[in-house]
Amino acid sequence: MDDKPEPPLHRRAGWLNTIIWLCIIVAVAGLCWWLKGLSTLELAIKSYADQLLMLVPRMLAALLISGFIQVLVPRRLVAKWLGSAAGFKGIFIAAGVGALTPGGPMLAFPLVIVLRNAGASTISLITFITSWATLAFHRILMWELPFLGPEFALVRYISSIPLGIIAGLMLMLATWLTARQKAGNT
Amino acid sequence: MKLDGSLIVMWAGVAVLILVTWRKKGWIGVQEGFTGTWGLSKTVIQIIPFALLAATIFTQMIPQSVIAGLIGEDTGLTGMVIAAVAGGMLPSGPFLSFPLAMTLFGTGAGQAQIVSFLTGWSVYAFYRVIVWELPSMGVRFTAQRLAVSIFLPIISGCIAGLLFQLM
Repeated sequence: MDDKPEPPLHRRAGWLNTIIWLCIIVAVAGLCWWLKGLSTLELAIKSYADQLLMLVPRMLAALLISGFIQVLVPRRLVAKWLGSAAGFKGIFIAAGVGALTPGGPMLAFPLVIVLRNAGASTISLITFITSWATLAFHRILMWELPFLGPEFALVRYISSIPLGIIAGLMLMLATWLTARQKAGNT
Repeated sequence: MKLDGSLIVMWAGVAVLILVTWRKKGWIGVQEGFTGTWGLSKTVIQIIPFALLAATIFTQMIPQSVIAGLIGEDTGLTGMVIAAVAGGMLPSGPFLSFPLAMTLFGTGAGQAQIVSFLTGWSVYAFYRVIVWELPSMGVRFTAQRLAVSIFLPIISGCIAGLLFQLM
């Protein structure tokens, strides 16, 4: 990778999103009023206020953590490790690196393309995407801990550790079987 | 009280990270950290309060018995499959899936099924497939990835179910 400055993580959203969400809220609230009456709507808003109160201090901490991790993790080095990796070792490296890659798809997919062009195998790339999608650390800090609590987050994290490796190994097996079948046919 | 503990840990993490950034990258690094935080915050402020309200009203409308019947504790593998596919079809990022998972908690959904729901959302991710993966990686790559991912939400749901029982 060259020395261009790294792009910021989230740039897509604008106030347009807010407007869309406000329309959705009006629609859902109207539907709720119509189908279930005003009391259900009041109940929903009360429960919303409770959730918001719990969420705000956690969200603020999570945002600060994500902001600083973004500064500390060197993305260029990440691309190098994965680009040269292969085989079983590659799967484990890809799974580890995927879990450590911060940011949403607007960051991860450009990185995947860079890695592919640098010669990373499909197996490592799929392992990387799966691992990033299920284990990405920033998402746990920013979303899972504040919303679902440490106990649930821990269990979900542990049960998701093998997923990226399973995906990589399955593809490896499939590739190997196809290659053997082709060799058998000719 | 347990949740208060997590809040303290998180703010301690903030303090440690700022300190490490300051030692390694100086004041410029710290400034960059705050700038990055502000950038992330803008997205969050524009979406979260609204998405959460919509999700809360929406789940309040669905009768608990329906959710419990579809993805409750006792629904086992079937519930995991339903939850995973529903998660995969969510047309959005974490700002909808996690609030929705949180509201599911109080409505009779099983914890293992919620794990399947989140795994389905993150590995099937049909929205991300259409917007990002197909255009950038092509049909073959995407098909290969989805094929090896089909059972992943069930695997994580089963492991989580065992772990929740042990806890």
